[in-house]
Amino acid sequence: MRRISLVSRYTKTVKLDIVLGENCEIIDVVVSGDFFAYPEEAIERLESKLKKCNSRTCVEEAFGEISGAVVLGIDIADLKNRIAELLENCPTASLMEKKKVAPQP
Amino acid sequence: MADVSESYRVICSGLVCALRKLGAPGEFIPVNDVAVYGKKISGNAQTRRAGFLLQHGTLMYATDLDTVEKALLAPREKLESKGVRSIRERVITLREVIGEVDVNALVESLIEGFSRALSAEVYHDVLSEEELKATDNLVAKYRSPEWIFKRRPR
Repeated sequence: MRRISLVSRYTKTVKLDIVLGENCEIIDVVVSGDFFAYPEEAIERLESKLKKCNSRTCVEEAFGEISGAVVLGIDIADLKNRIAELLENCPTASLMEKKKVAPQP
Repeated sequence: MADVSESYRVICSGLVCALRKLGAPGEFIPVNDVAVYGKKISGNAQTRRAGFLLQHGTLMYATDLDTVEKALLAPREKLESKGVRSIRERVITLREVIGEVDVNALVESLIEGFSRALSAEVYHDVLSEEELKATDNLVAKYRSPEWIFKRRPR
């Protein structure tokens, strides 16, 4: 498991605390900050939908679930992209293991 | 009031109006702040439930900023993003702007400000017995660690 914190500042600040599993899937995520979301439950719904995501498609679907919410103070499209990029650039545990044992030139 | 950003502006304009009446050049800073000379004097937040809107906010009229600075743990990065190094640099009190504040005059200004902003008649009221009893349960809820640390990373 890897714990990652992403902080993004727009007019307001948003912090993502993400726990990634061995295959770069989101095991847990907490979205916090001083931004506003209406309805407020949209953030908890987003967290719930992001769990088990390991691809951009899944992240986009999760954000699609809250497309009707009004989010103020942050760039929600940028935030979505940052999470998707995190998953796309995440080395899986098996790959990390291979890198560790790879012979040095 | 369907537009959330606009509703913040409309309601905060009541505060702006009250401040200006008292001689403080207040201005609304989107999303949810009111500032004087570029420094925050009021922060606001809204919740919406079942077709109702509740906005609450602060107004630092004679706030002890030493205590504020000790009580708030503002991340350095957040202060830097606002172009300041400390909470004290970021905020201002009404007392600092216009001198000693007469609380009754402030209340009257707020009533007038909100009446104008909302085009509504404002009246004094008190909590009913039933509402007072309901607060007992709310105190327990909002003091609970489960509530306070609900948004903390697990």
